Amino acid sequence: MRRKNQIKKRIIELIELAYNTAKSGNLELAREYVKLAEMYSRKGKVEIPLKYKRMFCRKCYTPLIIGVTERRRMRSKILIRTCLICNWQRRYVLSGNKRSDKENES
Amino acid sequence: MILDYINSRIKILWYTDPFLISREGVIVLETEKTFLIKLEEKNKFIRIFKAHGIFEITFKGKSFIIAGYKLVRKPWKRI
Repeated sequence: MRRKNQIKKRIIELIELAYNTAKSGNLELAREYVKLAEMYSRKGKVEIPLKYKRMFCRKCYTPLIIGVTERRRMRSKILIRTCLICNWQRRYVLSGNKRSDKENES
Repeated sequence: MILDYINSRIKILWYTDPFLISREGVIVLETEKTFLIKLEEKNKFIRIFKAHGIFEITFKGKSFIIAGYKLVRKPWKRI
């Protein structure tokens, strides 16, 4: 259990590092950090927290920064997030779900 | 348990290429066989083989000297 907590901590650190690296403009390096975090999660059987899972594209692993690598649009209470690098899209229905509250927090 | 050495300080104590000996920097990326290091001196990046040297690594306040061949492994296999 202690080992899993340590892995989870490292995953969060790496994703935050990737986010900051992407902000400074080095997207390739940021992608490598996210890939490493993803591998830790797979091999260590640790779940990435929802807040951090939504910080990167699930197809190309680029950290999503609004206006730089991500576009957000609302269409009739549906939030559409698009990755500007690979055009991956994800839709979130925001009509009074528990999940939508979590989305608003992140 | 140390998974990877990203963001830790490194000093090269010995290397097969004498030009790189006693250089210091920060590890930016770790792969199975190499370190990508950002040198302090000129904001320059170099990629070095782990197996070809002896390093002093400072990670989260702890400093230790280690032969590079002992680090040759994929980071997620240390779990």
